[in-house]
Amino acid sequence: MEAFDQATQQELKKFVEQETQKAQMQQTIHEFTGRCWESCITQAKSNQLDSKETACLQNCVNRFVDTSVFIVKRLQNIQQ
Amino acid sequence: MSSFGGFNSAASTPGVARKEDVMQQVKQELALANAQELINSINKQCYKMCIPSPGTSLSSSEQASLSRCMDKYLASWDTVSRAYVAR
Repeated sequence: MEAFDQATQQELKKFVEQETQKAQMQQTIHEFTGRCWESCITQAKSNQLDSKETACLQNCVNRFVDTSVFIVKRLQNIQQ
Repeated sequence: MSSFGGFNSAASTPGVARKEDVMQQVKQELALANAQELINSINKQCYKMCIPSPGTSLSSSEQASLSRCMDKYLASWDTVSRAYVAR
């Protein structure tokens, strides 16, 4: 099989990087969804999210990200 | 012989067709991995929620609960995705 020319290789490399980034983002969302489901959704009486559940999921995502930011900042402060 | 799942390239510029085959292959594999992850998560969470004591078959109420749970999980994935992307 002929190798791809240099330009095509570069293009494919960039494409794979972009797709990998997208896939990593989706993996993160899977983890968040699992974690936040456990915190927020206690029963399946209806097939829709009510407003409390929706708010809880949104809070969960935002607080988890805040936690991450907090930890990184504090570590930076400790190291100084 | 093709290691790309038998894509047939009848294009007059074989170099171009093969590059697109590779891109298609990568996208399909990543989409499949994502779907499998989703299925595993739903299976885990909805079993936990809907089947507290496993019997010898799935009762109709258990099946109904699983359907509702699945819909809810997909809606949750969507809500979480939007909230995360907005940060």
